[in-house]
Amino acid sequence: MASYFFYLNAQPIYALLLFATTLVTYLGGYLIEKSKTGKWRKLFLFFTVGITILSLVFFKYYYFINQTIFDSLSWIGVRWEFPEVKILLPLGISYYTFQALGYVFDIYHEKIRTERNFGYYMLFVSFFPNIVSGPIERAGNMIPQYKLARSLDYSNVVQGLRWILWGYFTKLVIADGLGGYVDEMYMGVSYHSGLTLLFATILFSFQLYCDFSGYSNIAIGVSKILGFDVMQNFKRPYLFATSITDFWRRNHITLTKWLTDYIFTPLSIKYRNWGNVGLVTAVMITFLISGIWHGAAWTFVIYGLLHGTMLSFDAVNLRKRNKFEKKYGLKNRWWYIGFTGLLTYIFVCFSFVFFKSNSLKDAYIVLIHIFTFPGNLELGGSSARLGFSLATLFLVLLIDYRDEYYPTKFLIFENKFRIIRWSAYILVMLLILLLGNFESNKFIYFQF
Amino acid sequence: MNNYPETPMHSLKKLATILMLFLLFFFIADFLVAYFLGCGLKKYYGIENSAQILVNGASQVMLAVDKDLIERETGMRVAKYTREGVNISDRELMIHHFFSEKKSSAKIVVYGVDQFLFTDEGMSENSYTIFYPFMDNKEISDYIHTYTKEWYVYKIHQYIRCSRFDLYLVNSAIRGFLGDWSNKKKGEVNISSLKSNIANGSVRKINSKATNIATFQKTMQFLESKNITVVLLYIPYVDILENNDSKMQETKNIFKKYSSDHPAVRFIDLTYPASSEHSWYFDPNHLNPKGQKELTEIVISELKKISK
Repeated sequence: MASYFFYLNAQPIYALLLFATTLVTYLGGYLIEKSKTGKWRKLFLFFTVGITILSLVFFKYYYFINQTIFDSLSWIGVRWEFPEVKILLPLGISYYTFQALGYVFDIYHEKIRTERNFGYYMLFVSFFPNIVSGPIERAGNMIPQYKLARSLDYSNVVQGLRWILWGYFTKLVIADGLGGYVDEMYMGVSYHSGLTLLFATILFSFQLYCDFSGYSNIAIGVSKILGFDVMQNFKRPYLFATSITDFWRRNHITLTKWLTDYIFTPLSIKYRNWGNVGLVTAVMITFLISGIWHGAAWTFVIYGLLHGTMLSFDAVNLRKRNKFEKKYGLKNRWWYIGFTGLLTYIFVCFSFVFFKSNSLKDAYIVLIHIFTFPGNLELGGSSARLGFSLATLFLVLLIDYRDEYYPTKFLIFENKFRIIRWSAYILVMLLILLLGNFESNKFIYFQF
Repeated sequence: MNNYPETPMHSLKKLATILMLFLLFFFIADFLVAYFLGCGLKKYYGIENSAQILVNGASQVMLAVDKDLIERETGMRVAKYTREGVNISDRELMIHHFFSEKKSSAKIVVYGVDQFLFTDEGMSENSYTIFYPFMDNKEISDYIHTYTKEWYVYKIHQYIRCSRFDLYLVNSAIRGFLGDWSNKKKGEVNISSLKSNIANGSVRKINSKATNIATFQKTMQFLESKNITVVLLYIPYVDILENNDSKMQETKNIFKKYSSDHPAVRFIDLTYPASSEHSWYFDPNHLNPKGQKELTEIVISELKKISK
């Protein structure tokens, strides 16, 4: 009830769509389990996934498909398009659709049994901390937790509040602080120097990380207070990931796991006889879907394909790379880890040019400016906010470094001395109060 | 040591004690940090430096007047109590606030004026929030209370002192401690984009309100009652914008008439030479460091005449 109340409060009419998706996938799962033959199971799976995806395609991609058809037909001199429909993107549609589909796939693959109590399933699809921006959870993890009797637990509350506090800090102080500059520079890319656009792209990578991981941490914290353990979504993706494969193990983890389990693995099994060609095909299709999931625009298609290409390269050369690293004992060399981390990060930033740009033309201008017109670095209208955000970003990177290499040392929020813990809580609270941007109320990943 | 298991009441008491201690700790830290920042902010605005000259205005004046240069050239201490986005009522409150401080001894007030001084449109509706750090002052507290829509917002700012600051006020406080009043707006106005804005009609229009003119007169009367010489410093917009609205001259005439009727009030119009010097402007209505230096030299020569 609370979850539906939360959703109704934001977008009342689309609560019906949420309910319809829940009902269709619930019934689909039930029919798949009850089917005696593989043929019927496949048929019910096909219909359930088809209907669910259709609603996602209509609400999220209608305009994009219409525009693409219109542009393609214009090439051959035909002017035709679908009727214009004014649609507001339903909040969290990509997240709850994937979550509900995960339940159907798990039943199909007999990883879980259907949930008899429709109420628990409704709660799973609409669970309010996760619904708008993930993490994309699994029924096998969440539904058993809903069924456990629980009371308010002090240590859960404390841990949950820590997650929330850190989430608000990264979101309000860093992400929103950097966001003003990034938006200003990406608004009119033609007017800015290459150095400025390069700097804005680097900052965008951190804005995205702090924004999305901030929201995820708040969602994890709220769930923890209520007594539920939700999957982590980020594990220091920038600079610490030593390959693109490693990057996707650390970045938006729940989406990566979803795509791996339900798209990549079935495809790679299907194409297993094709060797490397099959592997590359599976990776490319998976990342094409990942790109399109992020947004209804050609820029996101390119973003997905770029990552697919790099991942394919990684996958095909994995053995050679391992052999090379073993031969020269590179795996634990700090400079090699740093170098590969930097290379990975540079590629990620390159792909973010497409992620952030409003159009392919803008992305092209950004890249041309970066490579041919360095110019001077412009600091924009609010250099003070930018300066404070960069200073606090340094703090986040330090903590990421600690978590990566010394996870049990130099603890701050978890320190055994209360005075240190409390000082840290208060410092972060005061930093949020003093430096937080309370005027910006957008989360980047809400739009997906 | 007692070996009895903890009862729910014990747990609750323990939790309440921890919570109370944490809150106490928080409020002490909050008070100390806000006090520290408040000191920096007062330094930045010159509220506690027994200044002989007060410069008051919005962002135009903030960027047009070089406090350090005036102090060096005239040998007089200057308080620059300026803030971006303030309207004429805020300005009145700033003047009252400045003179309510014990150390205030200014005898000259440089009061920035421009063609939009009496226009409400285009001004920030929540400019009163810049006074949050000074809400311990009764007059400021009442002012904020009048404009705050939700009671709890007022209460939060009243009890959690760090919430009175935002990033820009923190920045000003730090600049106050560092003694940095320099103009950071480097660069020049883009005239071609301004011309296209004018052609599109997307420029602000003058719409002087009688209530705002009355507030201006009230402020002047308050300063006259304190035997203060007032310099109405007219900061022009870049010429193509300055001459864009016929009501500009009407507004200017109000200042001229007021100064001719009141001997303690002087009007300095900087339209010439500033307005046509596009390289002095950062944007259509704000000066860059080059423009600031040129204009401050003119202000200094006027101040020297007054102080003779």
